[in-house]
Amino acid sequence: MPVYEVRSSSDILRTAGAILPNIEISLPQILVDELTKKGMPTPKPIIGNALIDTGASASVVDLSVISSLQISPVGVAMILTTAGPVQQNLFPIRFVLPALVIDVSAVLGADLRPFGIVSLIGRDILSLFLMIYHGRGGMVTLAY
Amino acid sequence: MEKPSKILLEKELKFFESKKAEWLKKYKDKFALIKEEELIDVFDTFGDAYKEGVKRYGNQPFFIKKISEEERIETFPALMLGIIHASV
Repeated sequence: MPVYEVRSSSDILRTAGAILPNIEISLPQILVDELTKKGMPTPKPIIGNALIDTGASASVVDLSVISSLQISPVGVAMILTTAGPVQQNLFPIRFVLPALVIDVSAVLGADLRPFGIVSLIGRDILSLFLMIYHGRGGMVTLAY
Repeated sequence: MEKPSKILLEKELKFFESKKAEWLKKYKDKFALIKEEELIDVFDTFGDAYKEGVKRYGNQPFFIKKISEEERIETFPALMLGIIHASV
């Protein structure tokens, strides 16, 4: 069972949240293979920090990352905003964590730059893992 | 979370909504792959539908949606309220 463990401190975990550093976000492998077969260039993966948000039902990727990767939408999801429910596009993304790869996850886009993260990991992705939040030890463990 | 601007795939979404009742009888809980106003096929998983979509259309937009009675509403309380604090 692949295991990914992030160690910080109890204080950092409490104040900054469960940050996963150096997450790689790229095109899904199926799409990379297809573009390569056609001799088309594939954008380089983007690396940044992600924040685990157990309150979010779905995952979100920063819009500038989606734009850099030149990914086309593959669907629409209904999201609840302060102005009520609205439709928003879904984009296919590949997440690579050390020892863990999540290929083809459909995510939403939002401006996450003010928060210093490239992705918000919601319960759609967390549903694939066993997650241990060790508050006292300042540690988050994900096992696939 | 800012209110999003105009979405892409609106034509496909309208087509899906217009056919949903009919498809629910035949394809409940399957994933529909749609391009413009054509149902390409239905699949058991999102991944299978995506694979076929990429095979046919590469990195062009196409539409995948689960055929189910209830529309799921995604929620992001912290992001919506702007109360995320993720400084490292």
